[in-house]
Amino acid sequence: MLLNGIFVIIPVIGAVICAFLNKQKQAPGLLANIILLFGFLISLHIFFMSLGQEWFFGEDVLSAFMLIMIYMVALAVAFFAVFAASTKRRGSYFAILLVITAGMAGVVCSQDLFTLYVFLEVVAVASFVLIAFYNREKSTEGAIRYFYLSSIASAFILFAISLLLLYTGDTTYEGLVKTILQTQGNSAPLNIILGTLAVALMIKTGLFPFHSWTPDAYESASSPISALLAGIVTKVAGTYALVLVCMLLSIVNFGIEHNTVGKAIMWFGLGSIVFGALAAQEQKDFKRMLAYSSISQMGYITIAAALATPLAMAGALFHIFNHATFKTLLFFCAGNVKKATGTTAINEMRGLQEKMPYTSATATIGMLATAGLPPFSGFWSKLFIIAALWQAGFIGMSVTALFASVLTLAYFLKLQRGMFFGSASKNIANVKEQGMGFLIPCFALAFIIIAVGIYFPFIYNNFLSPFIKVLQ
Amino acid sequence: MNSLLTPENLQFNYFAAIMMFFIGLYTMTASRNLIRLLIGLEITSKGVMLAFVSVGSALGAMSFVQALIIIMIGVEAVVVATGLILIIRAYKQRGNVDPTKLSGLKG
Repeated sequence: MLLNGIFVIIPVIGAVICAFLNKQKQAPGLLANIILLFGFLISLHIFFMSLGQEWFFGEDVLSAFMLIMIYMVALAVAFFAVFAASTKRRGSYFAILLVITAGMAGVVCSQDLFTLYVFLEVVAVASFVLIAFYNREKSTEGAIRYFYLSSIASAFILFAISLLLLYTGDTTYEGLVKTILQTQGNSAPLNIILGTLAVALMIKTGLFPFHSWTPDAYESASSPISALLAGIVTKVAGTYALVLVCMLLSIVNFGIEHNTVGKAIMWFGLGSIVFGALAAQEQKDFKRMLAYSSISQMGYITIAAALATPLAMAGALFHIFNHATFKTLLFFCAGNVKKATGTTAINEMRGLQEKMPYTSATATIGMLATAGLPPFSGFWSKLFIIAALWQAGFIGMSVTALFASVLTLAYFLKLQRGMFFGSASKNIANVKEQGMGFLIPCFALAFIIIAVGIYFPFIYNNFLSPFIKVLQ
Repeated sequence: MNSLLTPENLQFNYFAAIMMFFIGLYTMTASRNLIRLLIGLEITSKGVMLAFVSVGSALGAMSFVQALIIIMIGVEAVVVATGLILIIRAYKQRGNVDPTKLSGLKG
């Protein structure tokens, strides 16, 4: 399907035009929103066209699924940024936003590991620039930390690609799968190479032992940018590639479903579920708590992707989608609170619900969905993941993941009590609710969370069962 | 120079590539200057490029690998330029380039 190239080219053209409109106030934001809206609609169309096809080779139903998410989150962020981005260089801001969207679209449309690397670097460089966009000391620090860790990850990715090239003579996914299927029996070198690749991608995802850049980058970036980073960039640059590696691993160890490297990745995932949930209890800042919550949720996705049974893979993809919606929503709420009160420290105010009813209502929806409470979308994906772990015989892991979900509820209730619930304290007497521009993206994402949760049978039949069928 | 790149001698190339990779990583962990960290990063990526050249030579696919390396050099130039901008900005804001003194963010 050559059509997927337009998802990369059109945003780049838009970025060039935006860069020339640097003096204009409204034009760059409007242009970016129009481009992203059209991209979102076209990606929906392509997804329904490509249902039922084989996947894994790039430009397929999986990449169409990822494209929908990329354009959905990028559109929400661009809409929010029109109101929230207080900068004189709006042209550059939206240009880089479009470049990062193009880079992410390139990552999911590439059919070749080296192309994947090039687009990962495009996404990474655009992220450094966006984190450090406002000339603040904290932002520079966050960007520098992300820069060094991400560059080490890139070096490891390239080294693994060079070894894979030596071993299989090819870097395209199709060629890799063909060679791997021919050389069954001697899978040890391939396991080691793919393990190296997986570790590098864990740095990019921000899983537990390699998480140190995540809270810094999310806290120091401005609110739309942290929503973009947490909502979609780490998922596309880290988790999507990790899902590909896990699928390659399950092909390498054909017949042995739970291979050693896959099990090791599962332990990393379990570690970050527990660590993220425990570390989030201690946080004093809304955005930092959300960052640790992100680490924990990424653990759920990784553990399911590494298990690589059909049910687990469907759960992983569904949780990627759900996490993209609710984490973006929560970062928008954090941005609203920051804009209205000037701070995101949890214990400095109380009873924000009286002053900002819509923000606190949508934040509550996002938090309950993250914790996995039944009417919301997060419940179904966590159910998939935990059921898949149980089904595959990893009962201990399944129980731990379940209890970590309770921990999620614990830190979010702490946050709710400290910030939103109760009667308003004195220091927020003059705080007002944000305008509609800030609230519309929140309402839209909250609507998606509730709708996906309630109409789950429809979502299952149309979006998830195709993945399960193809995998079996 | 061609005689050095026979398949029998390629193990030295891999050895050198892996050594360069880890020398670069050691530089990054040991130094206390952001510029030196960047130099370590460059040594690491040069090791990777050496690995790519060796692989191309072993497979007899030099033209393919040359294309890959030229793309890598281009990407790396962009990354290093961005990194230097960040370092210059950190120096202007804080007056030093010591990574251990990046302490504005905690937790």
